[in-house]
Amino acid sequence: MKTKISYLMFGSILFASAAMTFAPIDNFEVIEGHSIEFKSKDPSGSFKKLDGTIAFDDANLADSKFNLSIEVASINTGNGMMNKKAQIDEWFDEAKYPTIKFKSTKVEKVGSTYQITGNITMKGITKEYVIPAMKSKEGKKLVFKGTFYVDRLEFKVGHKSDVVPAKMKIIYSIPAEQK
Amino acid sequence: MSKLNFAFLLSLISVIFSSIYFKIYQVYLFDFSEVMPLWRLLSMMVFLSFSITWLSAFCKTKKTMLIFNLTLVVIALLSIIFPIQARIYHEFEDFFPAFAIPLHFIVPLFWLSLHPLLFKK
Repeated sequence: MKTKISYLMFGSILFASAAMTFAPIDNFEVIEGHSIEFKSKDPSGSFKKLDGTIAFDDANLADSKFNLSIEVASINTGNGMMNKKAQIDEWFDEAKYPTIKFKSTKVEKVGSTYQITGNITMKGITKEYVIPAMKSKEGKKLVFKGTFYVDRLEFKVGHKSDVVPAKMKIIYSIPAEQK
Repeated sequence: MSKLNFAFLLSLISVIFSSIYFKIYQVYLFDFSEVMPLWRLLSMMVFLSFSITWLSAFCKTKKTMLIFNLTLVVIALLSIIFPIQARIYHEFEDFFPAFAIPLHFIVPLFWLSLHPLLFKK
């Protein structure tokens, strides 16, 4: 009898700890099909390489997290010369700062949309931004879309200019698949 | 000592040591709690302690126990590949292996220290 109880306890603890250890988290990974476009009078273009993880749970927004990384070298303005110029130290300084990072600190639901508060780190400078997002779900895939403005001068990307506006419109679409 | 009590003891020691290590790392170095929450780490310690103790029950001779211990060491060593190649998209991703690798050895080290002491036969 005592042995049976021992076996039962042993099995229960083993099973419970295994269930906790391998419990799934609503973690998503950014997949192909994303787009990060920037638009202004001049220039416009996009970043082709983005990766990162998204922990998202509608029922638990407090624990939802966005952790994204954009490769500066993947900039595409439609003009090869301009792409190279964008990477020099006056602009993004790709050699020293190869990625643009976004890490969320708070995710809130406002009506049918979300407001993602987080830190954008570009050229070694970190600034807090609130990014609006629309979410759609296709099976196990989530897609976040939205538009916001980034002031490039806050990050010392280029100088004040009459040709290139300080505020760039960012249009993004980020599909992510459950890991 | 019964296998159940031994598994409890191994879990308890591993949980205490890994909690202390986790907290020290979090306070003085880097916080990886987003990637590896403490509750998951502790449940892993309990799971490993109980599963290793359970598997060891199949080793009836000195020779099989030797093979079991060697296998445990090899698996613990090989398992460090996972934190080395893991992409966690954390601000301090480069330091994640330094955080995770010692954790891989906590249960095996305590197992190898305590089991021969408490199960002399």
